[in-house]
Amino acid sequence: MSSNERSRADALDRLIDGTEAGATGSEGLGALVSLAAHLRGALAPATAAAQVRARVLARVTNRVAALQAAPRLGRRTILRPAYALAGLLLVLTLTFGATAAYASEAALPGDALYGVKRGLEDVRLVLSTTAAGDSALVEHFADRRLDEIEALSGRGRWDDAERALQDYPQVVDELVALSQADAVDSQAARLAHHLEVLLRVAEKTPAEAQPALQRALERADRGRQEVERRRQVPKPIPPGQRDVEDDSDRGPRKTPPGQERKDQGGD
Amino acid sequence: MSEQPIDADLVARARAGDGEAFGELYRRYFDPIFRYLSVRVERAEDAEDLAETVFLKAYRSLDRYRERGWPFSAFLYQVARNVLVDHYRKRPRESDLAEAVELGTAPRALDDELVRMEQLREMKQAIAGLPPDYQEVIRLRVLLSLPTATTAQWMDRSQGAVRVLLYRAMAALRTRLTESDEDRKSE
Repeated sequence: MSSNERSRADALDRLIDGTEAGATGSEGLGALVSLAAHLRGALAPATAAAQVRARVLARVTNRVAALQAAPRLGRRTILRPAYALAGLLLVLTLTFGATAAYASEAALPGDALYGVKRGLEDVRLVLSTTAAGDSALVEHFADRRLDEIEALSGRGRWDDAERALQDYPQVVDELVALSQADAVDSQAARLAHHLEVLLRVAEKTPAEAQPALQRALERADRGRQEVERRRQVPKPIPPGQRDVEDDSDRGPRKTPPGQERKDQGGD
Repeated sequence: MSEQPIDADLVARARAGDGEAFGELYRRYFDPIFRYLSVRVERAEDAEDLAETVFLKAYRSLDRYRERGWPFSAFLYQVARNVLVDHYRKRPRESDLAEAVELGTAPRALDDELVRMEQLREMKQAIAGLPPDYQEVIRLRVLLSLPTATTAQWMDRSQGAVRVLLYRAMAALRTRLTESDEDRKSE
């Protein structure tokens, strides 16, 4: 870089800021200053209107409130125990080899290795570095909890199934709190699927486990509604496009899960 | 933009769960971040959605922000850039012209509007043809009118380096526009 270039760069910088008005021609920089002014006039974005600022703030506040409503989910709250678990798992792995960790993947609540499975999940959450990564993991873990409930009920292990059902509402809390704005459809579909599976489990659940099952069903349904409402959070829709967007986004009103299966005769 | 040391205090309070503190950070930085997003996407509603995502991600990443002379606005800018990368991955940019037609420009103004759109398209195309750091310095210094000091913090360069970068970027842009103008005349 020549000293001439540096001095021209300094002069252009001042001219663009308007702190050196009237000197545009002196260093042959007039064309660049005019170009900058032209660009600003044509392409500079407007300052956000107060409405936009308030609308986005409301949306952020709602999401933050949802996160704060589930403090157990905060990274800070899971960080310390998870690091302790990571250490424990390292010791386990060194002692018993990676087989234990691998075998734990198929473990169900009540199994000896189930704690290892859950510990590995916490470690994966700690190692995730993005909100989208956290969200994807929590979705994956929620599906696992559902699979575990179904597997336990299939094997008639109702004591373990009942405990898993008692923990299930918290699974939905996590899912809803960490869901991403652009994943509303998939979250709603996921929770609808959860409702279907829980309704299937309900058909064979003994009376003792019914209260836990009903609470799980209610939480899944409420979670689905919360996610659906998030989709309906006021969004700037240009006049005249409201109907089109509403229809395309939401599609036809869906029959509640479970009901739909009965109407269709099941499979 | 006065950022230190008050930003660091606000971040510490927000990290401890103080919603007011995070609200203050939002009020302070919403405009520059929103305007930055607005020059990178075509639709205003996309800029709003992305701004929401940026501030939510920032809130969730407060634990990862360490002051160390790196201002909070630069942290937000990095979050915004990552959010934009995700956005482009999911949704390729749409053409201005298609959008203009969609918006239903009045017939009598159509010719003028098309000429204006063509000029805008040329300018955007010329900027898009520049190296990424040239594009970025034009966006931050010229389109957003950010001070050199802030641009330097956001781009993690010295102020002198930003001034030279801006000079080279503007000179390169002018050359590209002149060339395309001459090409059009020779056709």
